[in-house]
Amino acid sequence: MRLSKWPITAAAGLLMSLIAADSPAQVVEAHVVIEGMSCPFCAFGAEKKLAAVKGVDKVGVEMKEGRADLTAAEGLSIDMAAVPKAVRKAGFTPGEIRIVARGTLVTVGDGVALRLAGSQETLVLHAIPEPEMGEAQRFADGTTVVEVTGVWQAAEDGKQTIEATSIRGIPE
Amino acid sequence: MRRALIAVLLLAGLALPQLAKAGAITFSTALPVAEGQGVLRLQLIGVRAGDDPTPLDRELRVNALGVVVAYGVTSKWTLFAAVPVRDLRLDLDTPVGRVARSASGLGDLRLLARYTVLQRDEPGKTLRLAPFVGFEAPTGADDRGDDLGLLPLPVQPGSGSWDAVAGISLTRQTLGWEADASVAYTLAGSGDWFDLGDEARLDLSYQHRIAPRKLGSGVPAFLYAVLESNLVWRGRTVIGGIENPASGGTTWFLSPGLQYVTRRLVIEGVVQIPVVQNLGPGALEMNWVARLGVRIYL
Repeated sequence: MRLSKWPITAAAGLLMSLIAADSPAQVVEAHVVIEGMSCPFCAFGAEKKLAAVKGVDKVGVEMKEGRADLTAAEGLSIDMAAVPKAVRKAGFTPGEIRIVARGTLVTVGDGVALRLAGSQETLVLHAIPEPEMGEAQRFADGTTVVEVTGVWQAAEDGKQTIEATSIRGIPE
Repeated sequence: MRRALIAVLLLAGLALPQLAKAGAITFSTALPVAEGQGVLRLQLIGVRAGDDPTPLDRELRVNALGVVVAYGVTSKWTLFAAVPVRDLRLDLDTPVGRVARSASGLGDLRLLARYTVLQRDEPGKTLRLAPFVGFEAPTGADDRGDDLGLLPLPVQPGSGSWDAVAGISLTRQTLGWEADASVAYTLAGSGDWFDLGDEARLDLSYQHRIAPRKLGSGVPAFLYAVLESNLVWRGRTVIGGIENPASGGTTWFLSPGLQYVTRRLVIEGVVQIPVVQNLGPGALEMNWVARLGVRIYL
């Protein structure tokens, strides 16, 4: 007898969505430089596109700096892979993206990665300056929740990294 | 009389709405419309022409509402649909006294597609180059009449012909100023009872932010002082296979204006003043064109 895969797939999808709904905030802020944005009317197009990114609650634009500041909705994480796409769809070029992310640090080979809470997704930390490197190694126990600030990047293979500029532990 | 008036159609043609998006007021720019989003533009246009060299002492008044919708298919492709609603009136002397001949209604529908071929973005600056191509469909009536018979061309809401349009726009925008240039050519098709001449135009625009002097936080509204230049050439009109020497010609406008730009809204006004008019003998001369408009991000 051949069983249909649909019920299993649907159940797995439901389970994943329930897990996701329970996940605490992970990428809680993103600050995106939008190159080419040079008038208020143009800025609104970018603002609308960024506001539609999954996990985003608020979007503020700073015209002078050519930057959009994204804040995550309570309990959600900003879908970072969608942020540069949204800027491009608005007709502009994404520049540097700085983020504030929360999760636990784990060692990956010789390096350290930020595992986003509630998932196995990791953001590899690189170019970590001293003394943040010492902090990273101290917190890399897989249980201590930390807040990492740095420049977010995505490689062509989809791997996401943070060039961390600060790491601090979050009290329980 | 009809033939002598045909050149005025060129002037009435200026009542066609121009393309949407912040930037130049009297023509299309190369600025983007975000994918899946739209911009609505409404523009009130007044055209006055007179200084009739003939004993008819003609005066033409065109009042129009230009409606333009721009839609971003992708970040590079933008579609534009533009249609005017026109109220046209021609006053002239006749053997039975001064008469007014008028008509109103929907004008011709213009559909254009624009593609951004060059995009150089920096923080607070952009350079765009975008060719566009499209056509104008004869949605406006060209057979309106009154008690005196068929109305002359200047007071027909439509052209009656399918026209092809192509051009290219260049825009350099910074936080402090913007400059635009556009060249466009309209290849006029054959109408039901007249053939309009082709049209070529070269448009330039410079906008300088005059307020706020210094940018603060957030997204402040910008007030721009605007100066535009419109050089328009039109070929001669043909009726019944005969070219009308009083039609066609070249007009150069200088157009000062103001533009107030907020996040969701642009309010703008400009007066197009004819500086040079090299028209056929017997053609009406343009007095002025005024435009007052609003653009809304949908």
